[in-house]
Amino acid sequence: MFHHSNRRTFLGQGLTGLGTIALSRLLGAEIASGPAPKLQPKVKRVIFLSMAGGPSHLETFDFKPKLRELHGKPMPESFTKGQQLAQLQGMTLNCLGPQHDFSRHGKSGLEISNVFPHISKHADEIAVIRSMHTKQINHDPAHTFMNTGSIIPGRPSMGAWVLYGLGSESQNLPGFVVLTSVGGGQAQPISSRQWSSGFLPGHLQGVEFQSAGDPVHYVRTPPGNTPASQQQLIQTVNRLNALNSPTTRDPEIATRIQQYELAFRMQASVPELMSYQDESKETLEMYGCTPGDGSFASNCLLARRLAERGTRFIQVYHRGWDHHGGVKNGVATTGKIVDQATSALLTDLKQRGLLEDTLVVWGGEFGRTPMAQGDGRDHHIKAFSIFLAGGGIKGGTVHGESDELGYGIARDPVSVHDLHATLLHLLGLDYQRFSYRHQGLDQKLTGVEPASVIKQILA
Amino acid sequence: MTIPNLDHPIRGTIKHIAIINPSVRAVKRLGSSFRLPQMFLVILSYSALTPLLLGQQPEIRYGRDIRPILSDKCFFCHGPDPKTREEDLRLDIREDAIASKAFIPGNPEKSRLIKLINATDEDDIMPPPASHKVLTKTEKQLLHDWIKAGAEYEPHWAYTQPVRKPGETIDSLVANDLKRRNLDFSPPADPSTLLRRMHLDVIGLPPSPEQVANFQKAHAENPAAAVRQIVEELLASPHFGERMALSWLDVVRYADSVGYHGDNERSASPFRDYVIESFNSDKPFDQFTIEQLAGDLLPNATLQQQIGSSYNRLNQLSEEGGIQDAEYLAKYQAERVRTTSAAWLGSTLACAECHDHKFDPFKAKDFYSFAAYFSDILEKGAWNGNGKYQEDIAKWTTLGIPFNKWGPVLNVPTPEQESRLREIDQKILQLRAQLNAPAETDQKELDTWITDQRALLDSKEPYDAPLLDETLPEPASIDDTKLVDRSVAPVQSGSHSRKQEAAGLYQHIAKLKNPAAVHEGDQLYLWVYLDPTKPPRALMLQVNVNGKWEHRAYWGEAVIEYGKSAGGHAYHHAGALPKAGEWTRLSVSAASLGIAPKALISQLACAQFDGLVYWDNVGIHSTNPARRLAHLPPEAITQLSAAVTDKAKLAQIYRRTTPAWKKLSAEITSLENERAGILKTTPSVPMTISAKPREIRLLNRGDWQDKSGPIVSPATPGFLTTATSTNDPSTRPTRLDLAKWIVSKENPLTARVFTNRIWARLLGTGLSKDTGDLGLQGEYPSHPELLDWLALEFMENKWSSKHLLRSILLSRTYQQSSTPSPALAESDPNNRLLARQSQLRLPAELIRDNALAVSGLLHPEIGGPSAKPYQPSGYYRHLNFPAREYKADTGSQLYRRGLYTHWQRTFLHPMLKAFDAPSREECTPDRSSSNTPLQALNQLNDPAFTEAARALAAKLLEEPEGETNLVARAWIRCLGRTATAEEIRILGEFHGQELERFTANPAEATTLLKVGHSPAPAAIPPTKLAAATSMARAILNLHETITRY
Repeated sequence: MFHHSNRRTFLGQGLTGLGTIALSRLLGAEIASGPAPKLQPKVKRVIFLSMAGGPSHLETFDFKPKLRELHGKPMPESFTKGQQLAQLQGMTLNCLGPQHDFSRHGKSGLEISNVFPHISKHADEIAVIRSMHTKQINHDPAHTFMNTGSIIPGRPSMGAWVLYGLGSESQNLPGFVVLTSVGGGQAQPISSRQWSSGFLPGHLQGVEFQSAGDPVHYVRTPPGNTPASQQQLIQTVNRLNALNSPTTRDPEIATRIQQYELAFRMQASVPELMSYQDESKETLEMYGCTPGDGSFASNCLLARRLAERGTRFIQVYHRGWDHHGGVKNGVATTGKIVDQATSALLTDLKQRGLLEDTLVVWGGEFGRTPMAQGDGRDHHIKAFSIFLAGGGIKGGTVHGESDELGYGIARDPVSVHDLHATLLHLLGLDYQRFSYRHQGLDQKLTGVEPASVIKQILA
Repeated sequence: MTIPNLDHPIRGTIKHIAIINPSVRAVKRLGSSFRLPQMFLVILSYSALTPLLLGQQPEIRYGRDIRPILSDKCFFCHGPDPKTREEDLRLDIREDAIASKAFIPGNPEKSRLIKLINATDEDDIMPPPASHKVLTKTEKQLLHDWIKAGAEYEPHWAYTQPVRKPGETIDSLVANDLKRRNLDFSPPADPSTLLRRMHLDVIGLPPSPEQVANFQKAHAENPAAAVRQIVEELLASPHFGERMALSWLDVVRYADSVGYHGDNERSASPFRDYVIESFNSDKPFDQFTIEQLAGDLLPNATLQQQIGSSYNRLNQLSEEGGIQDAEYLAKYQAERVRTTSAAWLGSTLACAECHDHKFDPFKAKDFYSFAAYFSDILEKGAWNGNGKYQEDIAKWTTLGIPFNKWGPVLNVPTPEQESRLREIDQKILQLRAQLNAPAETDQKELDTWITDQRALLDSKEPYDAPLLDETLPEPASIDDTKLVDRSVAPVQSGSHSRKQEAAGLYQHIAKLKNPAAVHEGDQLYLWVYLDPTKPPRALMLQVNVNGKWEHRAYWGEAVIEYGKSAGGHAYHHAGALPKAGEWTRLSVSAASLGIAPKALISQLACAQFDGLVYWDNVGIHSTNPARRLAHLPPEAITQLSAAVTDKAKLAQIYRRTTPAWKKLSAEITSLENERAGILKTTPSVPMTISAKPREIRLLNRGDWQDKSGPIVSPATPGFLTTATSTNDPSTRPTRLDLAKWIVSKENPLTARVFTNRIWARLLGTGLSKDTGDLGLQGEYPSHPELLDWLALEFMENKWSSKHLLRSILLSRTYQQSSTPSPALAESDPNNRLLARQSQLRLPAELIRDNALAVSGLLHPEIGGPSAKPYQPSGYYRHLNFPAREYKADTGSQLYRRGLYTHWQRTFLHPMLKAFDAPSREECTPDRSSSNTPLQALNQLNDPAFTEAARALAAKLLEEPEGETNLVARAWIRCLGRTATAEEIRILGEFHGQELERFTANPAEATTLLKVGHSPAPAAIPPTKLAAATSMARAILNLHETITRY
C-alpha cells in the first residue's frame, strides 16, 4: 500500500540507484499493446551523425563508373520520366560523373571515396547501406521523416522514442542531447521539431547543447549568487514543497523536488562536461579540434563525453552537405570537416570499450541526383547511402545496391522505417510492439507500413 | 464474470495504464523516471481498493464495454477498411457479422467468435499471434456475456444526438454516479484556494492580497453569494478573453511564423486579438465558428469577420527552394482537414488521407471532399517563385488589396494609424488634382526645352541614366530606407543618400514607377560610400527582370545567401569591395548578369552584409538615346523624333519637368512612402480570399503525384450527413455551408467537443479523455449524460461560453477541495470519478503571468503586436534565409502576458517550450503537463524570473510595512493564502542567511540587482533588497506557485 510514510521515506532516500532502472521502460512496455520487449540488447546508446543537407552518395560511398562514362551526356529518360525532382524539375537532365575517385580498403575491400581517408581506415568496422530511400524531397520534411518516421509535424523523434523506451543512464545530464555545427556548404535551416518529443511526455525531448553561450538554456546561476547560495535556495524550495506533500497529496510535488535536485546537479555537471581539461593531447590531436569551438570535431568529442556519462541518444548534426553547385569542391570541403572527426570518434569509442555497446549511424536525409545541376547535384530520394558501426553491426559489409547510375535501387531497398526498426532492435526494443497510445491508436516509430530489421548488416 | 466488478472509467484505466503509479495523473504527466518503488506497491494494493468501487453491476453496453475491444483487437482485419479486411468478414456492422456467422445472438457457445478467441491451436486462435494483440480473460468474458445477452449494437455515442432529462444538473449527474460507487463529494475548497482557482481558471491572473481579504470576509457572511459575485466579476474582466484564447489558439494553430524551412515571420496578431475580443464579448460560439471558417463569405463581411476568416491561412507555409507547388498544396489542404476536423469535430481524419479509416467510419473520400471546401482559398503551394495562384490576382490588386510574399494581406491599422492614413489619402487626392489642373505654358520655354531634348536624342555619347535617385521626377518607391541629407551624411547626387546599417544581411528594395528597358551593351552602375569604421563584408545589386529575381551582382565576400545556391547569373561576382571613406561608382554589364536587351527592369534591391553603407544613384549606363529620356513618357520620344510634332502633347509632357510639377510630384511620393511605411508596421493578418476553386482529386495513398483518383466535390463526412454535393459553380457547397453545418443541430459533435474541452480545463480531464478525438478510438465518456447535458446547455443558451463557464464554476463539483482522501488518491488518481477537484500545473503562459502579476511588473495591455521577452542569445542560429538574431523588446513590451509572446514555430521561446506549450505547427487540443529539470532551471535562472523576484521584493519593501512580516506578506501575495508558522520559519531562515551573505559581500548584492531592464529602486539598501529578492525567488520557485489547487 502506498501511504504518506512511504512517500516520506521515498523523498528522504534521494535518487541514488533509481535512475539506472528506468521507469519509463516498464511504462513503455505496458502501454504498448504487447508485453515488455524481450530482445537481448546489443547496444545501450546511439550516436547519430546527421549529415544535414544530403551528402552525395556518388562522391562518398557509392561509386558509379557507368555514370562517369555518361558524363555530360543526357540522362537516359527511362530513369527519370515522370519522377519528382526538386530544383531540376523541368530542366534538361545531363549526367554528372563521379567527381572523386574511390579506393578499396581493409580486408573487406570496401569501396570508399578518397575524400574520406580517415573513415576508410575503419572499412572493416562499418556496414554501408547503398539502398536507402526516403519519401520527402525537400530538407525540412525529409529531416522530419528521417527523425520521426512521419511527415506530419508533431510526432516524436527517434531520440525521444529511445529515451521513452530505455530511460537515461545519467543522473545529472539529459538522456537525449543534440549538437550542431556548420561548414562546407549551404547551411539549411533546421527546426527544433527534429528533436521534439511530439506526443510523448515533454521530458523526453532532445536538449540542444549550444556551442556558444551557456551550453544548456538557463544552466547558469543568476549573477550575484554562488553555488552554495543556489544550493540553499533549492533546499529551501524543496523543504517548503515537501511540507505541502502530505497536506495536498499532490504526487507531482515529489517529482518536482527530484527535478530541482537534478537541476542542481546539472548546473554542476554541465560545466564539468564542457571543460575538456582531462582530455589528453593525443585525443585532441586525433579529433583535430579546439574543444568547445562549436566544430563538428569538437561535437564528436563532446558526443563521446556524453556517451561515457550515460546519455542515451546523441544526435550530432552537421549542416553543410547541400551541394547544389560545386559538388566536387563542396564534398571535398565538407568531407574534410567530417572525415577525421568521424574516424576519431570511432577510434576513441573503441579504445575506451564504448564502441561495443554504442551504435554509430552516419547519414543524411537524402542523397543527390546523378544528373548535373550546373556543376552540382540536386536532392535525390530514390537511392542514397549511409553507414552504421558499433555494437551488433557486421563490419566490412555492404548491403543493398543502387542501379548503374546511382538513381534507383537495384537490390534490397531499405526504408527509413527499416532503419528505425534496426535501431530499436539493436537497443533491445521490439519495433512491432514498442508503441504509445495516442489519439486512440498504438503509435509506433516505424509507423503503420511494413518495416523490417536489416538482418544482413547484423553481426 | 471473473474480475470486472469495476465500472468503466476504472476499467479503461486498467486496460491501458494498469501499473502506473496512482499518484500519476496520466502518462503524459510523468515528469521523471524515478518512481519505481511505488509501482510495485500499486500492483499489490490493487485488490484493496476494489470495494470502494463496488456498486450495482451495470448492464453491458456495446459502446462502452464491447466496441473498444472489437475496435482494438479485431477491426483492423474485420472492420471498415476493405483493403485490410480478411475473410470478407466485418464485425463493425451487426447484420454483416451475423450474416457471416461470426456469432449467434443469445448463443455464445455456438458462436464462432467465442470458439476462435478461446482456441488453443495457434492456427485458429483470434486475434492471430502475429498481430501481437491478445484478449484478456476479462475481455473474453465480456464478449461472451454480451453475445449471451443478445449481442446488441448501438451507434457511437458521439455521433448520436445529445439528450438530457428535465431537472438534471451537473451536480446531480456527478452525485448519482458517485452514489452508485458509495462515494460522495469532497468537502468544499477553503475560500482562499477557491478564489485563486477561480482567478487562474477564468482570467489567468492571481488575486491580490486585498481581493483575498475581501473575499474571505464576504465568504464568511454568505459563501454562495460571495462566489457568485466573484464569478460575475471575473467573467466580465477583459482578461477573461485572454485566458480563453490561450487554449483556442493552440487549437487553431495561431503563430507568428510560417513554420516550414526558413520559418519566416509573418504578421497575424490581429487574429489573436480577434479571438480575445470574441470571448470577451461572449460572441456565440456558432457565430465565432462561422466567422473563422467563412467570415470572408458573409454578406457585407465586417473587418472583424474578415480577420476571423484568416483562420484558414494560419497554416504552415514553405518557400524552400525546389519544392513543388502541387505537393505543398496537398500538404496545406491535408493540414486544414486535420485541424478543422480535430478543432470542431473532435475527429482524427488524418488517417483517411491515405486510406479509409480502420476504426472510424471516415472514408478517404470524406477526407478529400472535406478538403474541397477549402480549395477556393487564394494561395500558392510553393512560395519560392515556383508557385501559382489559381487565378490572376489582378482581380484583387486592382481593388487595392495588398499582397506580400505570403499572399494577400489584410491590414488592420491601429486607430492612430487609421486616421493618419485617411489624412494622407486625402492629401494625395488634393495634390493629384492640382497636378492635373489645366495650366498655361510659356511657349518660349517650351521651344527651348524641345530643342534641348532633341539634342539629347541625337547624342551618341554614353551616359549615366539614374533609375534610383530622389532627383528623378517620379522617384521609385522604396520599402525601407533611411534617407539622409548632406548635413549629416555623405551624398553623391541630389540632396539625399540612403543610409543602411546592418548586422548580417539587410537590403532595401526599390520599385520603379516605370519599368526600364535594357539596351545592347548597357551597364548597371551604383554609387556607394562605405563607412571606414564599419565596412560591410559584401554588397549586392539585385535586379528584378520581368518579375523575377534571377540576376545579381555582388562585390566582396560570398556571404549573402540570395542566389547563392543557383549560382551563375543569379550570383555573379563583380569584384572586390571598393575603398571605404569615399564615393565609388561600381558597375557591371547587364550581359554578365544574363539580362538580355529589351528586358524590362522593374525593381532593384540594394543588399549588404554587415557594416554601414550609404547608397546613392543607381542606374543604367547606356548609349541608347531613348534612355536619356526614359523619365519621360514613351510618347515624348515619338513626338520629339517625328517630323511634325503635336505641340499640345509636348506641352503636357514638358509640364512634368518643371520645378513646380516636380515639387508636387515629390510631395506625393513622400506621402506615398509614408503610407507604405505605416502599412509596413501595421499589424495585419494573412487574408482569406475566395477564388476559383481548385480541382480536388482523391489522392491514392495521399500521393500528390497520382492523378488517377476521382475528382471530388465539397461534402461533409458521409456517415454524418445525407446532403448531396456538386462541383457546379452555382450550387457547389462553400466554406460557409461547411461552417453552418458544423454548428447545425444536425451535427452532434461540435458542442460536445467544445464543452468537453472546457470541462478538461476546469476539472483536469475531459469527460472523454482525448479532447481531440471523440471518434470510435476515443474514450467512452466517464459521464456520458453529463457531457450531453453540457452540450445541450451550451447550445440552448446561444452557445455562450460565459454561460457555460458560469454553470460549471457555480457547481459543487467544481468547488470541491482538490485534496483527495487517501483512499481516493489510490483508487482514482486521475480524478475520473469527480469526487474532488483536480490539482493542475499552470500552463506555461500563466506561470509567466503569475510572476509578472505578483511582482507588479505586468503590463496588462490587451492585444497588439507580439512581444519579445528576454531569450537566451544564439537560440535562432539554426534559422536561415535569412539568418536571424532575436532582439528582445524594451520597455513595457518586456512585461506582457505570456499569451503575447512571439510564437516562432520552429524555435518557440525556451520558457514556453520547457513548460509544454506546443509549437502550433498543427492543431493541439491537449497540452501535456510534464515535470522536468529544464523547468527547474528555467525558474531558477531565467532573468525574467529573477527580475520578477527583485521587483516583488522592492514592492514589498516600499510598502508602509517595510520589512515587517516580509515573508508572510510575500507569501500571501504569491499564493493567495496565509503562510503557516513552519513555512515562515523555513523561508525566514533562508532570508536571514541571504541577508548575512549579502552583508558580507555587498558586491554580490549589487550584481544580483542588475538583472533585468527595469531599474532597482535606489532608495532601498542593496543588501536588504538582494536578500528579499532571494526570498522571493524561493517563493516563485515553489510547486504551489505554479499549481492551481
